[in-house]
Amino acid sequence: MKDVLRVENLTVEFKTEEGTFTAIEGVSFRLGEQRTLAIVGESGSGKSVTSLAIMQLLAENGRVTAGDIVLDGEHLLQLPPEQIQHRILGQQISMIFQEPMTALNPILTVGDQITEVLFEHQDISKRDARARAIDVLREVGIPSPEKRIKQYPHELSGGMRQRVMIAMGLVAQPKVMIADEPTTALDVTIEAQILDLLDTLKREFKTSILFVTHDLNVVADIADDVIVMYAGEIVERGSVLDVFEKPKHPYTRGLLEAMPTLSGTTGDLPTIPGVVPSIATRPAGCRFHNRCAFVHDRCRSESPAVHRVDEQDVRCHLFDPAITRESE
Amino acid sequence: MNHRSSTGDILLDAREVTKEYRLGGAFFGARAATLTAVNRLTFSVRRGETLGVVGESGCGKSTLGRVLLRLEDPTSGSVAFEGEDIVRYDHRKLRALRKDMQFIFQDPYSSMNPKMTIRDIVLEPLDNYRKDLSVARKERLAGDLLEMVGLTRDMMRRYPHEFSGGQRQRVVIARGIALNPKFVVCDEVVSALDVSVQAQVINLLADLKQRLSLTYLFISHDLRVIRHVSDRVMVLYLGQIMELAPADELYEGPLHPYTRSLLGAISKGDPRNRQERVILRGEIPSPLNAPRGCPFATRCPIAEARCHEEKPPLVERSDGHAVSCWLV
Amino acid sequence: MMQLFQRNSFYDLAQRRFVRNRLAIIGAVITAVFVFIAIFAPILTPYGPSEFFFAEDGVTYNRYAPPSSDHWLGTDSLGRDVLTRVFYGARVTIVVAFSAVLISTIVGTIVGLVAGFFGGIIDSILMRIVDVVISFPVLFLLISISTILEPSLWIVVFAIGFVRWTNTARLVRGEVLRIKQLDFISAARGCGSPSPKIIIRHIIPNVLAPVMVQITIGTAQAVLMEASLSFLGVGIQQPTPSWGNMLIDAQRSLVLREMPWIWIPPGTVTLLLVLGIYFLGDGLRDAFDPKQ
Repeated sequence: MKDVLRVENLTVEFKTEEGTFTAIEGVSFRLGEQRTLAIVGESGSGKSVTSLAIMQLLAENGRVTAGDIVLDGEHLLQLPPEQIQHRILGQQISMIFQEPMTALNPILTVGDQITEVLFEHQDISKRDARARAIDVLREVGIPSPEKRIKQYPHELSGGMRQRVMIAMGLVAQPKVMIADEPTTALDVTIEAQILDLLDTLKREFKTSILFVTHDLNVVADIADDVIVMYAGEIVERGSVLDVFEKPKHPYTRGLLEAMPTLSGTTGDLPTIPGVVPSIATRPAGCRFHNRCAFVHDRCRSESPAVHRVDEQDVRCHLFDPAITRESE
Repeated sequence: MNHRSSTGDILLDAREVTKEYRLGGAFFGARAATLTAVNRLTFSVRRGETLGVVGESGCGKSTLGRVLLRLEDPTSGSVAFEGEDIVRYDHRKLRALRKDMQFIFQDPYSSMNPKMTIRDIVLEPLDNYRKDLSVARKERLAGDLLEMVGLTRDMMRRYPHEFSGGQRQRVVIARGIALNPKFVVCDEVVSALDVSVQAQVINLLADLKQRLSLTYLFISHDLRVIRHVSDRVMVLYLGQIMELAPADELYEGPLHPYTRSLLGAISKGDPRNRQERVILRGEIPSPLNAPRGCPFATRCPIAEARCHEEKPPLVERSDGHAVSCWLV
Repeated sequence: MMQLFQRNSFYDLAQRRFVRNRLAIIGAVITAVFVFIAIFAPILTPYGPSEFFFAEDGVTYNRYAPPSSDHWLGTDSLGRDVLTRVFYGARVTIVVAFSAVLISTIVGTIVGLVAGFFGGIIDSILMRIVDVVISFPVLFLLISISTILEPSLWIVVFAIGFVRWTNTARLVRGEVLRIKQLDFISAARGCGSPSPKIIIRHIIPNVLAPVMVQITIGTAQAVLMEASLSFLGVGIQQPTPSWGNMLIDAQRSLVLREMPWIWIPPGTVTLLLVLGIYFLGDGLRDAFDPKQ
């Protein structure tokens, strides 16, 4: 299968008053054509930094210090900023944010915001742009789009705003759409609508989706492949079935167990002890070692490599083939 | 936490509790609108149980919690706590009552004064009610409370911003139990937390409930969390009770079409079992112009003419399962 | 992400950020220098502010003398030492500005707190009063007062304070309304804290930072206002020196064109002091609210 987006060994640093910190380190993954890849992680895992780095939207004090981002054969990090601005962003790769209210411009109508994306990148007449805007709004399930394009964001409900964001993201038919927690701010019933919509649109628009979320349940429903991030590193990668049914990394296992289920659980929930480390307090060795139930001496001092187990990649000493052979 | 309490005695009894807000209309009487956040709710909380309250945004669940504790005054209706109507309590009696009823807030960031130390935050309730205690004694108590919620004594001199979300939520819980209350309203207490930390806090609340014989009103939008913590569950929609039943019953045999839609809309968390989600059409109507009949009629898949005209009463069946729907 | 690196209270952190801000330190130094000059004016200059100097003939006043070793910045239209008057003018300017801001801050903070905290009809009434005061033609008021009453320093202080408190009141009210919404206020109420305690322990410490910023900006504006009023002749009156009334001579084009030592010094120190205070205020704001 062809990879639309390839990220190799991506490393991002942030300069702060307290010093320079590495937010993500050695992040590599591939996103196949018309696939949905979920990046799942908790706060401080680096999942959002990863998506922002791809979009080149890092805050001023953030910098990609190593790695390669290849979108359909083009090395994005080597392109000049104007090219990125004109040819790539919004056109070949677009982003949907968590909070559509702040991501939409409050003083522009819905129609203006969608057509703006088109004017930015394409030579298109006003009338055509308007027609395209109406079409795409209809595609994302907004009723009477002819009327809606004249409305302002505050006149729409949260779910409708998220649909508008998706319409903006799709109108230029990008190859990749990055969705950063697109349903986190929405109610359950609206979340279901939006997830369903994304899945349908992915096929219609032949787009690949990079879905960033903290919610494993959403991942189970929408992803083809999953990356689990912890403290700035990928700790596990695999197909959604493998990761959910045969989780390898102790962190992934812990996360899956810690979720209460709908079928009813009683007694104490299994937990992962301790807290998610902040960027400044990441431990040496394996970054998960101080919360891990399977910790041994090596984990405290030596950072684990990525090991291939079955169809999954795992960053954990437990799966080091050298060790496994020894114990056999 | 699912151990079923027997019919038990009633700790809190709400009758026809209504909370309206007047919007707009200041000095020179601009046009004012009335928003009914909570609409004639009648239910009771049994001593020792956890009553889960679940619903989407605008269903009035947070307002309900605040009104029950008289952080806000109800517009009409009565709230009896241990048999006494507290709605008409004056300042002094209310102050005495606050010892027995506590509120734990959703956002561990805004629910602590950033300018106060952890010690002062935890001791604030004791400063108000236990003026008899010496400073040293209170200091010791604050340390005990912190240890009880899984923190350490040496955190007392520090400030909220030095802690992670989960730790802050523990401080907020410590403050909530400082006066040894009988009834605690937990408003979305784990919603802002990471999954791995969420389970810890849920377990902590269960543990405290046991040790301190607490009764909880547990408000959340998360159906899984509600399922795990609740003995009985109340489903709200637009400020009204749709269904109220023992947790197992409600999740295994939901009767109200809204409850069924909610349960159908959420992910099963199983990638192999991506059954068609029940997609509920439309959006939650604004509470400013709530439907005249059943509030859910505008989105209900089985609504009939009558549902749009007449509000169905909440009818309790013999097994303690109450539903408000004409068609059940 | 930031919060996890730092320990100690909000004000400790703000202090650290302030000290790192070079412009803010420059502002603080400039302001301190002027306060120093104001306090020690009598030591810094051998002359008195209203002392007249005679020309060599011993009969006429030594008017409009250019800078010399006796009079480093020359003399003014009445033969007084300009440098001495600049030093003593600092006293008047700073006393007027600080007093006016003190009054306006106290009044404004109380009004803002009461309006914001209690809301309703009290809020409406207080805010309409603020509207009326803002709409007042101050210059007209001052000119009227100065024709009726003997103009004095305290009338100027009162006038500036009267104009400035409204800004503080609005600011504090807005902050109180914002803070009132936060959960920790409900939490305090919920654990039995009475209203006075909520105001003192929870609200005031949280409005202090913006009020401190407002104090610095207010002081800078009060300095300018005093200068303008005195320049127009309705502020500080001769012979008391103020930077504003020292500029009155510059209303004559001959002075403006040919005797720069008369107007450049008071003009420059006014500019410097105002700029210094603004830097200080910006530094405080950045220290309190690093996001901006």
